[in-house]
Amino acid sequence: MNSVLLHIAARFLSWPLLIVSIWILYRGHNLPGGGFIGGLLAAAGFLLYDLSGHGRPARGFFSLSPFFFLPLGLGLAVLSALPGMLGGGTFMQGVWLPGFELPLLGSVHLGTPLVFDIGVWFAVIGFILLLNGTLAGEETS
Amino acid sequence: MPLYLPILLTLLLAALSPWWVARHRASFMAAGTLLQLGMLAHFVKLLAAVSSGGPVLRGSADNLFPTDLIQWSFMAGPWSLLFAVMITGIGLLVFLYALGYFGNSEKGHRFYASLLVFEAAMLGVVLADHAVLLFLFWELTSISSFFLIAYNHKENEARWNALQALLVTGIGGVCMLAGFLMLGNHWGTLSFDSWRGMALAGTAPPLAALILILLGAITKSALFPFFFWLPNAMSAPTPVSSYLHSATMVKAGIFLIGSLHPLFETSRGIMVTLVVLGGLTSLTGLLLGWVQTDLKKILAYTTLSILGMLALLMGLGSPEALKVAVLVMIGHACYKAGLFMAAGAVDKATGCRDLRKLGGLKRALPLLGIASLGLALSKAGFPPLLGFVGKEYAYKFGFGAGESYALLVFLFIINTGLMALALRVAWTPFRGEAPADGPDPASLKPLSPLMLTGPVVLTLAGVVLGLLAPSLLSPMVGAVVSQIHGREVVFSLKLWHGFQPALFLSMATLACGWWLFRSTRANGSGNRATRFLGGFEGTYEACHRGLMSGASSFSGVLQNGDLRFYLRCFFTSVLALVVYKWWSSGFGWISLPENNGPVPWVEWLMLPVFAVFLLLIVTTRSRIFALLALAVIGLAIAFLFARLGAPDLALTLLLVETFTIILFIHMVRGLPKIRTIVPLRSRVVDIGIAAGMGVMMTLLALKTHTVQTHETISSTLTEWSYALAKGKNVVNVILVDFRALDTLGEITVIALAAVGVHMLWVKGKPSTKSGSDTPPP
Repeated sequence: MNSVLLHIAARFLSWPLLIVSIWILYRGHNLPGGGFIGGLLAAAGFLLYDLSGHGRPARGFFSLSPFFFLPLGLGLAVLSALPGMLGGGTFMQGVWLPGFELPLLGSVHLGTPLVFDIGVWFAVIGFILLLNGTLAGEETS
Repeated sequence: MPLYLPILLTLLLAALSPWWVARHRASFMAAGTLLQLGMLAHFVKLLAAVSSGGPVLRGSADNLFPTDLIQWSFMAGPWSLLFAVMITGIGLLVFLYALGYFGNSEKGHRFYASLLVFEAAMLGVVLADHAVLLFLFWELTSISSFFLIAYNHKENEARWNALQALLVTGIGGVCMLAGFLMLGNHWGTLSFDSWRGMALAGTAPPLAALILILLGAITKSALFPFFFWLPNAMSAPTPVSSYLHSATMVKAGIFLIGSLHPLFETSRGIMVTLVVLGGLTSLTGLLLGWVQTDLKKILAYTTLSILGMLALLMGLGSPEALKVAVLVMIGHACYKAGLFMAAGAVDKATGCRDLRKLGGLKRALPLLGIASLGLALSKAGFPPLLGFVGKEYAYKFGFGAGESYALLVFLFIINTGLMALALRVAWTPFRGEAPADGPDPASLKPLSPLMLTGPVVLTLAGVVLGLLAPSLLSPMVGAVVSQIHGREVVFSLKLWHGFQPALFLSMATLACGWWLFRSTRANGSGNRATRFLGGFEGTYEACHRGLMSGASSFSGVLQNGDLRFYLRCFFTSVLALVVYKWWSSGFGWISLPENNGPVPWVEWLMLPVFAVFLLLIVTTRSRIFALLALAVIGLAIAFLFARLGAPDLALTLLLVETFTIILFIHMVRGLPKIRTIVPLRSRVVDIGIAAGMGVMMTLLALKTHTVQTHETISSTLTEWSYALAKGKNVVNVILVDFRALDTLGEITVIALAAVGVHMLWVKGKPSTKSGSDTPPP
């Protein structure tokens, strides 16, 4: 689509969308948000970028194929399930690092559920990109 | 060393084999040989220890599975170890043979994975003590057999035969599992060892369970009337025929009968069935093998004969009969595997397996000729070879069996026939006259020495085992028979019994067999008997085709491609089920929820929004307009969610609505405007269904508001959320922690869905060639 407005808007909206998406992903554990919503937002940023006619279609900013995002997401989700077992617990038992303070973010808790959520985030991005690329009739592989 | 370690090591080698053999064949060969040699030595040692009265070995990992329904438990009695020795010993020879058979060609690279998986699975079958574990390995042998039979997967016939073998043994396997579970229910344990103990203590198992287990055994061992899959399995490469379809896998059924012999013994009917089916199988094999001209097919039919004889002897069930069975089985494993390898070598060298075209290869393939002759003589029961021991005891048993000579006559016929067939395979190609239209003995393809190892070693094994039978085999056979029979039995085997009736019958067998061989020729054409017996396979084929056409007409009705029909079916059945449930639970009336206070005007405002846009959707002719109107409704719902305190839900819905629009627009781009093509009458029906669904959903929504059958868990989850999972957003904590496995499943599903859409949309052009599941003409 060749629209100057869209072109410029996309330039200014895509990156902020991605950043907001990561923020939503991170804050999801305590406030509305999470990997699914964050992933959809990031995918929205990617699609906007494509619609405005930048670069190669349906691949997002990084020229990455959805077939990169999907296995990455699923792989991260599965990997996040393993540390719980190493500690003698069960599959998918949450393992947490000790909390610490950071400027801006405040008290930070990092743990396997966050890794899992990042996996969901990637999988959702891959899902939307692949569907969109396929249905829009573009070469995705 | 844990008992199951060989299984794991073999599986490991199988996993590594495809790239190992492609990159460095020599080291792969060395590793495989070492592994199998080690396993063979290990099992021989164990067998010797158990035979001389050592304790029965066990191995298990108790906490591997958190349920009693399957346990990783193994046990190695003499019967199991005898099989383990055969599996690893012949496995080693077949492994070497296959390396020669496939040579350096790329075609062989996939082969070893399936072969070694089969070997591991077969070891699992014979060593497993837990019934369900045994079933798993049992099915794994069927599956690896499927891949091996269909190894030449470009041939329609090979695929069809592989499917046939898989279906027949698979159906039997499922019956067997049902029998196992029934027995487990009945006796409260799934351990074979406990079962044997129960049966020997005098408790009779349920007959139905025994019948089901027997079905598994007779399909696996290709007994009558399921014999047809075994000769068809000869479309596999020769190493497979030699290993799976003569020496090991087809004996799994016999193994099972032997393992559970005390159970089968409690029912006279089962034992008689075994005898009858065994006898019929034996005669069938002989009759059908008689007219065959294909070397491998002849061997397959004689294998059938032997399997039948083993089943018959198991069914007779006395220690004497069991002793004969064990001896015949050991002998058969040696000479039949060797004969198969020899036939495969002839095939490889000449490119021909047709008996009518082969002859005069004695000079070209001298070593192979001598080895096959030695194997055939062992099969014929020529003293002092191993086969002689088996046959001699068979006749002795026949004479001792009482006043009836039926068994003797039967044994005489089978042995004579088998000898003639063995000579056809082993004598004619080498020492027979060279036919004019056959391959020229002077221009044969060179054979890898690896292909000769098997036949030569097995010939020597026949000689050595035969000569040393008294000292080497006696304690082992005694221990094996004691285990099958469940009571202590002591034997001392002898090679020479003196001039007894059995010896004279043996001599008569040899003479008659020779005479039969010289005076008859296979012509390859069927007769009345073969046509009748072919009917069993015809029945299978008819069932298969019936199932297929039934399934396709069924899905032709249900999956007819008419989306409106699908929706109608779906909604009317939902409607009917819910109304039925409602009616059967007494039509409890709906009371409006109390104490909710007045509904704010903003939420009232949504009502006209829903109404107006719904009306627009059903009346518009533009698909895009309908989509946008639908999205407006979605947004209104998201608004309601946000108002009612579900921000996560509202956010998600908002985004999903957005993407739905984007993706739908891609889809409807190319579609024409909406046209009315449905007659008025069916539109009325549709309106009725839609209205019914609407009313039902509304009533259900109101109903769920007032019905509370269980205590709500939401307060507990809220309590847990921060304490256990360090998160304040309960929705997210449920998604990524409490119910993370569900989420993992969901993202897997969306990934698969996306890939599926991609495949259908981009790659879904109709393929030019599709595999067919019809029998070859």
